[in-house]
Amino acid sequence: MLSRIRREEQKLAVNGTGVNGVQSLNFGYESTAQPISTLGHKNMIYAPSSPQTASISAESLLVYDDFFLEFTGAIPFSGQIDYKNKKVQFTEAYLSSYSSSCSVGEIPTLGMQAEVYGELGTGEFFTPSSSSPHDTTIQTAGYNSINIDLDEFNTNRVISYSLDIQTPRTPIYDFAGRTPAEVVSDSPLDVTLQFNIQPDDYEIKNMRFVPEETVFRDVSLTINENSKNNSMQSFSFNNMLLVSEQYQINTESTASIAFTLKGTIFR
Amino acid sequence: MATIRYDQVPLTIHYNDRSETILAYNCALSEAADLRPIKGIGFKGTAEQTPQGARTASISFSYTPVLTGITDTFLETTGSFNIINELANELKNSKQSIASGVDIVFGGISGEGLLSSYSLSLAPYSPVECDVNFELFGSGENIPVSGSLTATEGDKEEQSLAGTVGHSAYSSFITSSSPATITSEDQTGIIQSVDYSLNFQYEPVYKLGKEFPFSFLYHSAEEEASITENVYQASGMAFTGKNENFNLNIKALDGSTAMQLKMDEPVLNNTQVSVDAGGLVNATKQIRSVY
Repeated sequence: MLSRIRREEQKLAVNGTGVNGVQSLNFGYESTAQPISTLGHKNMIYAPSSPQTASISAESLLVYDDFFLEFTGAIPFSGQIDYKNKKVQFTEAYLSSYSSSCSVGEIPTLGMQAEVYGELGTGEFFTPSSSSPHDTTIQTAGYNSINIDLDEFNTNRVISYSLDIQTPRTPIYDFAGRTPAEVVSDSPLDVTLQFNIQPDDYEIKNMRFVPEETVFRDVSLTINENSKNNSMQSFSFNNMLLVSEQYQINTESTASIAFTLKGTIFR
Repeated sequence: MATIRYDQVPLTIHYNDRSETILAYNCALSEAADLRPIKGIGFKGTAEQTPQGARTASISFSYTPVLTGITDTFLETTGSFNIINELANELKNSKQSIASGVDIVFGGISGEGLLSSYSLSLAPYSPVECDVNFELFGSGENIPVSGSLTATEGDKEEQSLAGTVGHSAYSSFITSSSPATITSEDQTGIIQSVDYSLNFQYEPVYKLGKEFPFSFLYHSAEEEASITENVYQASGMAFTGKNENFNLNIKALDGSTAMQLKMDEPVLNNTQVSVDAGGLVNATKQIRSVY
C-alpha cells in the first residue's frame, strides 16, 4: 500500500522544546569523500577531503515567539526531527543566518539556517526528552500589527520588510578529531534590512550621495500580536547605512521602491 | 596513438628490496644540459654553445603516502612505513659519507635518483599530500635517464575506500614535552596545520674524463616544521632556542600508522603571531633540526 509522510506526523524539537508553526524544514549533508585520482592506477579510491558537516534550515510563522533569534549568539543547539515512527537527531548546530519578513497580506515569517558540526543522523546522540510545542496558546502576528519607525514612512506606504542577519562561524579543527575543537562565533554580524514602499513623496537619493550626503537611519521594528498591542518581537537598529534603492514600475502595478539598509552588530 | 593518459603512466620506487607504486597526483621529469655560449673579442655573435657541466635531470611529484609493501618487520618497529618516508628517515640519520640513490620508474623511463627535498602539509581531516624532488645525476657514462615513455595497461579495479592512505583524521602528535603544543598560562593551543620539509645536501664527485659523477657525498640534512596554532606564548622564545622532540604520527583511515616523522631535538627558531581584520589570531612556530 502506498505510504507517505504528511505534516501531522512530523515534529521539530530544539533543545527539547517543540517549534511551533513550522512551515518548511530541510536538513541534510553532502559527503566530503572525494576521489583520489592518481597516476598509473585504474581504480578510484575515496577519502574524506574535509571535515564532515550537515545543514538544517527551517521556516516558521511567527505564531508564539521568535524561537530562533536566541541562537544568533554563541550557543549551539541540538534537536530532533520526528517523522512517522523514525527520528533524526542533530547536535552542535550553530545558527548561520536568521531572517524575518512580512508583506501585506501575510503572516510574519521566520527563517533560519544552521550548520551542524556535531552529528546528524538516525543514531541516538542524546537522550531525547518528549517534544511538544512550547506553548499551546497560539499567538499570531499579522501584517496589520507591525510598527515600523522610520521617517520616510509617514507618507509612503510600507508594503513589506525583510530582515536578514548573518551569523558567521569559524570551526577550529585539530587533528585526530571529527568534530571541531572549538567553534568561534565571528564578529560582526551583518544585518540587512530591506523595505518595499509604495512612494508618495519619497525622494530617491543621488547615486553619489556617499560621502557628502551619506544616509544613516535609526530603525525600529515591532511585531505585535494580531489586533492586539502586546509585543511578540521587536528590533532596534541604530545608524544603518542606506546601500541601495531600486525603483520599479510596470503596466499592471503601482510604483514601488525597494531600499536596503545595512548594519553590523559586534558581539 | 601517441597520446598517453595519466592512468597509463605508473610511478614506481624501488628501495631496500621494496617496490611501491606511488599514489602520485602529478609527476614532472625534466632534463637540462649545462651549455655555455662561447664568445670572444673580435668575433661577432657566438662561436658555439658547448657543455661546461654534466647533463642533469630531476623528477618531482606530489603524492599521498600509503601503508603498503611492508616486507621488513624492522620497518614496523621504526615506523617508517611509507617507502619515501623510510628513505628520508634513513638518509637523514645516515652516518655514511657516500649516498646511494633509489630506482625510479615513470611510465617506462627509469633513472637513479637522490632525494633532495621532501615536504608535506597537514590540514585537518584531509588526505596527507607530500611533495618530493629527486635529482637524477647519472653515473660514470650512464646518462641520468633511460628508456622511453610508454603506456602501461594495469588491471582495472573496483572503486574503494582509500583505507591505507595517510589521513589527518586519525593522525596525532606526541605532545609530551613537545614544542608542537603551545600553552599559555591558562590555555593549550589547538594545532591547526603543520608544514614540514626536509632538504638534503649532496656533493657529486666528478673526475676528468667522465661526464657524470662516480659517487655522491652526503653532507647534511635540514628539517623544518611550521606549526600553526591559536595560542601564543610570549615567553616561549629563548635566546638559545629550545630543544624538544617533535614526533608526528600520520595514520591511515584504517587506523594503522602510515608514517612517522621524528624530528630529533629540534630548536624553536621562529615564532610569529598575526591576525587579519575579520579573522582570528594565529600563532606560528617554526622548529628546525639539522642532521
